[in-house]
Amino acid sequence: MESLLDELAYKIGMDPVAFRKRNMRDEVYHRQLDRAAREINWERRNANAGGGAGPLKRGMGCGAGTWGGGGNDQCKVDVTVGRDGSVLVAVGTQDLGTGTRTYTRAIVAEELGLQIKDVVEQIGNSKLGGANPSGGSTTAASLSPSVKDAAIKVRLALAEKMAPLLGNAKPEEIAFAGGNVTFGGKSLSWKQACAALPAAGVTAHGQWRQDLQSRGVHGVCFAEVEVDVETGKVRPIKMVQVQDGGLPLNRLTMESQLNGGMIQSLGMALWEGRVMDADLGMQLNPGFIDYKLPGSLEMPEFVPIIDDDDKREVVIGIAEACIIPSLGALANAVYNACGVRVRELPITPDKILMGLKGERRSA
Amino acid sequence: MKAFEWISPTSINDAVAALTSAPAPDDVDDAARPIAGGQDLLTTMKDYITRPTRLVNLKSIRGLDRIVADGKGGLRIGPLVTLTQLDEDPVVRRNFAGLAEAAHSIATPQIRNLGTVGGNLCQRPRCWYFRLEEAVCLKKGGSECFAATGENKYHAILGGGPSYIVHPSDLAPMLLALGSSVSVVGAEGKRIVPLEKFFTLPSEGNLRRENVLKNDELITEIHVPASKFAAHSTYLKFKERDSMDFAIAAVAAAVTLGANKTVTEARLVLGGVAPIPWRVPRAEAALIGKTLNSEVLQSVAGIALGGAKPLEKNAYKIPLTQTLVRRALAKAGGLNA
Repeated sequence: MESLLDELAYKIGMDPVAFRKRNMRDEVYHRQLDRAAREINWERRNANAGGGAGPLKRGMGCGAGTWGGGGNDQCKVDVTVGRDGSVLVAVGTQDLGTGTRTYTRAIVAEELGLQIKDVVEQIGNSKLGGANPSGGSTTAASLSPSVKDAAIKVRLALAEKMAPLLGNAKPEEIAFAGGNVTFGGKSLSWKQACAALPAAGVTAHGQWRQDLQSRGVHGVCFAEVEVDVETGKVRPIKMVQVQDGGLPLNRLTMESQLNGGMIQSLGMALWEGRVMDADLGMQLNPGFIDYKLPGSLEMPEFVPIIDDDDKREVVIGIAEACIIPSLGALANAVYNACGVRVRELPITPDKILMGLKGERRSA
Repeated sequence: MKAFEWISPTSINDAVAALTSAPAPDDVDDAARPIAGGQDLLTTMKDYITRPTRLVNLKSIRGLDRIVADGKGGLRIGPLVTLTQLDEDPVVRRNFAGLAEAAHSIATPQIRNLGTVGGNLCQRPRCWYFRLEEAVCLKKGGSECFAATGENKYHAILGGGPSYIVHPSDLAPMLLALGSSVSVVGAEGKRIVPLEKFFTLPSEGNLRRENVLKNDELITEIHVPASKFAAHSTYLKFKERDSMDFAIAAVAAAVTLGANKTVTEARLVLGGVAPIPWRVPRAEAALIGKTLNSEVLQSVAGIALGGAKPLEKNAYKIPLTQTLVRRALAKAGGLNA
């Protein structure tokens, strides 16, 4: 789709970014396209696809994408605060490397005015309470509302126990911030306040809340590549991706997911492909020598940008969303560099060289 | 992997005896094998492509892992010298530049730390049909080369038929360009084989093997003679993925420039495009007496690939290899092209 849009833009001699802005109704994409174009310096791109002297030709391309990322009501979360001040958050989910552990701790820590290190998370065991299966970028939007709900409930339960130490304040009026529990002029350290708890501590159970999550994200990617038109090799130079996702739960893990999405799409665009033999009905490249995942030497400069103009205070999953815009961006960058439109991924040297041969023949 | 017996001899004679005394195999790929770095052999064993009943460990033999001068400016390289040793050796880097480049181009640092020169020359093809256990192809005693009409983008454009594998070694084209030979010891004694006669085409030699080694034979030394062009040698390898890949195509080039920068000697060997390292004598001859410029390079590249017969999906290898020929010769000749 993104290659088709690009092709149409070139056909009528219009800037591919302007073409998209003219045709995309959702204005979120407009600001994202402008932001990424500025970041990669879109004006530097090859004026004529395939133009320029010498065998090494640079080009730029862009692409946009969307995804769901909404959650569902499956996660049961327990938060327990001990008399010793320990905080444990338990849920039977798992971390695929997408930051689940980090935000599970962080949400509870924020609610109780503590540091992330003050909270211990327990996950990865189905005995800990039901959770959703990870798939479709649904984990964050399914889990974090339940964690938030449990954290709010445990705060109110704690406040009730601590109120007598703070002049019988109303539970909702007690502030939890900076490692202290405060009401009026009275302030207790977290440890002092927790000493008021019963021996078994206090536990609260959290349920999913629909109002804390949503679905539907926007992302754009701009890529710059260098194509050696005498060997067909594509070298990625730089990738810029702007992505929204509601409320970022953790900026570092969100940027990491953006980087991960760019890396995965880079592999899919330029190297990875399942090769089947039609007669044998078998995959010919079932191992990582022949199924070529990119390595460290293939990595370009990555610029992950969180779209902070998204003011929705809801959690939306972005994992798969980050892979979508960059595939078209890379294919369009290859076209801008060398004038060959490759319509099947991965874009390997054989396709570029044979494409260039076809271009010369038809010219 | 099939169970195997492990023998650690302490001399070459004992190693040959251990290979000779192994029970007669049902199939050539069941035969006892020598093992050094094991970087290729183990992968073939895991996929049951080879099924040796006995492995003879060459690492227990002392003295096979050295690079020494031959007294005339050449090198005697032990078969157990690792690719890293070869890559990092200061004499190799200075006087046999292309050889260090070829070693450096192979696989990953981890594999180069274990893989050996002898093993690199004797590794089995990377053809994905050959490597697929279920595909019983010509090279595994079957009746068909699946690549001839199947998925053949990585296969031979020169010297193919009836099998279309390409030789996977990066050292082989460069060593061949440098005029190297190997010492081979077996049950019937010692022989010296020029590398040019070491590798065998599927149409000429044993289809089940890629070289002249018999089951009981070992490479005991690789001799690289002194030459005027060795210092002006280069190895240019094209990989789809720089981090780790076999050659889609490669060129080993070496030239000697005489008065007025005309070429007096030239060696040109192609890798990754034929079942053996593919020397192109006509292209070498076309360089003699010429000054390297873009017209000459263009013409020589055309001659080098003149006999190429691409399969359905690998015609791109012709312009690709021509580019590498031009660039390798330009580099060897000190040209900025």
